[in-house]
Amino acid sequence: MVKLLTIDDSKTIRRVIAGIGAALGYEVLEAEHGAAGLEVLEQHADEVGLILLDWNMPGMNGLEVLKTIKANQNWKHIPVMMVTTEGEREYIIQAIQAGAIHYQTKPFTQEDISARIMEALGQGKGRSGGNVA
Amino acid sequence: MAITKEEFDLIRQFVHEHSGILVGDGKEYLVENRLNVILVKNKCDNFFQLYEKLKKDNGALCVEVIDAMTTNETLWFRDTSFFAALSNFVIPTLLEKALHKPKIRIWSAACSTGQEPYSVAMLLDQARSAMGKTAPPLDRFAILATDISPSVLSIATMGRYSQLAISRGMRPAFLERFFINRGSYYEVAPGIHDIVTFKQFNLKEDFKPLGSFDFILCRNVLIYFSNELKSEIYRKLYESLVRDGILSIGASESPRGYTTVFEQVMVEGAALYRPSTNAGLS
Amino acid sequence: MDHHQDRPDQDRLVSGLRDATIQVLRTMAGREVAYVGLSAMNQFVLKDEACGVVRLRGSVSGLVAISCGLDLAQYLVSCIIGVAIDEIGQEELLDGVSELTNMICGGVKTHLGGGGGVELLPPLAVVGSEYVAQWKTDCDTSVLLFRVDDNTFRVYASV
Repeated sequence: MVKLLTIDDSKTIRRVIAGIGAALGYEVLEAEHGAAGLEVLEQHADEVGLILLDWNMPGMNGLEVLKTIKANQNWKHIPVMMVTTEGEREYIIQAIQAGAIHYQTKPFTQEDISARIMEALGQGKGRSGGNVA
Repeated sequence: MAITKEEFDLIRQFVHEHSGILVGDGKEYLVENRLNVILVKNKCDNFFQLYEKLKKDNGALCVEVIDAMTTNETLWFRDTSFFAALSNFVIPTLLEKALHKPKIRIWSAACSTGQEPYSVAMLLDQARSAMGKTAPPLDRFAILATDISPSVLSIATMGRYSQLAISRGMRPAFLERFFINRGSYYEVAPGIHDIVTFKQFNLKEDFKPLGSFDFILCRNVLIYFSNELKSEIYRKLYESLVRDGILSIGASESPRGYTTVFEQVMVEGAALYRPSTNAGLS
Repeated sequence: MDHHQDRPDQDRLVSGLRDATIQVLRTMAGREVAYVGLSAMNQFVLKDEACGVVRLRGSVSGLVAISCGLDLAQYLVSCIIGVAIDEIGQEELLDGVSELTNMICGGVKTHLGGGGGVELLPPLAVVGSEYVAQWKTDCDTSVLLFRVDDNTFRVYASV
């Protein structure tokens, strides 16, 4: 069973993401800072299908966590989506260059996160609405 | 690297031309917040470069930009003029029809994550209850909900919503009546879920295989299409509506300029469209 | 305040904060917020029962804060995480207020820095009735006033 991992120092955000994951039928593992997130990966790397990663956290920041994940042979295949209040271009560039598959700024809607989760886990691609000529 | 005034004006002009949505003065913040990720992913150094790309590529990038600027608004129906028109005119009309017709067919043509078709189903059921014993059974209604995106359709089909989605406009009385509380999320009740069928569908395709409908919701989706395709889709919508059918489009949209086959009906301040009685296809 | 820094365009800051507040409360808590207006204080003083503060430093420095009554704070947090108000303990409340502050402030950061030069420090949340918080600054403080249902929600900026 594929699980999601949310690494965010805010319990509020972790609960919101856990609710979205549960609505999609996924169990959501939670970690309150980067080091705790890496510990979860040590235990559950085989099960984690997507990591949702905050940027500003005590200790390692999200970018450092992302780089650590991408440098690890056992973890680097796991897609990482940044979920953060940091919306500046410099941050987005750094995250995408470091291997994040998507960058979601807070606040977000269920649709924002759900559609990305489904895409990342191969449940289909695309968007709502129509197609353009 | 903040957006310049010139870049802001170009982007908002583009959004307005393609969606009818006005981005007001002083909303640079909004454009930056919503489009910075797209800008970076498309390897643009600034918004002018993004605008140049948008002008050349009127395809996927355009959809992404318009989407980012206009979505975030997938809501349950609530107290808008459209909601009033639906509750006080469309739903009673459909219920009345259902007394004499074996099946009333409704189409939600760009259903995204499902809020629109489920909202219609809930309103139908609520209005049925108010009618008492004379009410037609709920299974006399069939709602077809389509979207081009498999990922949003899979979310819609599940009919499960997190608190975050529920809190955006769901009325407490409806939540209690039409959802099952599963702890960390809410699930649409079976009676409501059962009358909605989901299907992946591209509005560029032929509509005929879908059959005819008594009510079509095609809200805020034609904004993504070229003028030529808009004309074609309005024609196909007309052909898919029964003679006394009703079409609902977005508040910023109008078939004017694309077709003359619809008559506008103003209800509760909202515009609805019916097939014109003397329609000649434009 | 660091005196060598230029103050950012205050109109732009206020309109950014206004939009960010409306967007955050709408998106995360499902509440429609009405912007009532702007006032100024020559001191930075917080005394509502729930408040959250974020310190900005770097090319721009200052404080951004939110405040509201305890009932509204509990209500907003309950809307976000989806539990009954009476199930919201102090931990949930403090974390929820912090995150609201973080999102509202984060939303305008792009405006202020222009090039990643501004850092947001972790939010501080204060919940309870017996305090008055003051921050020493020689800048005026802009106070944005909002209505959420029948309650007042304030956003402060001294930047």
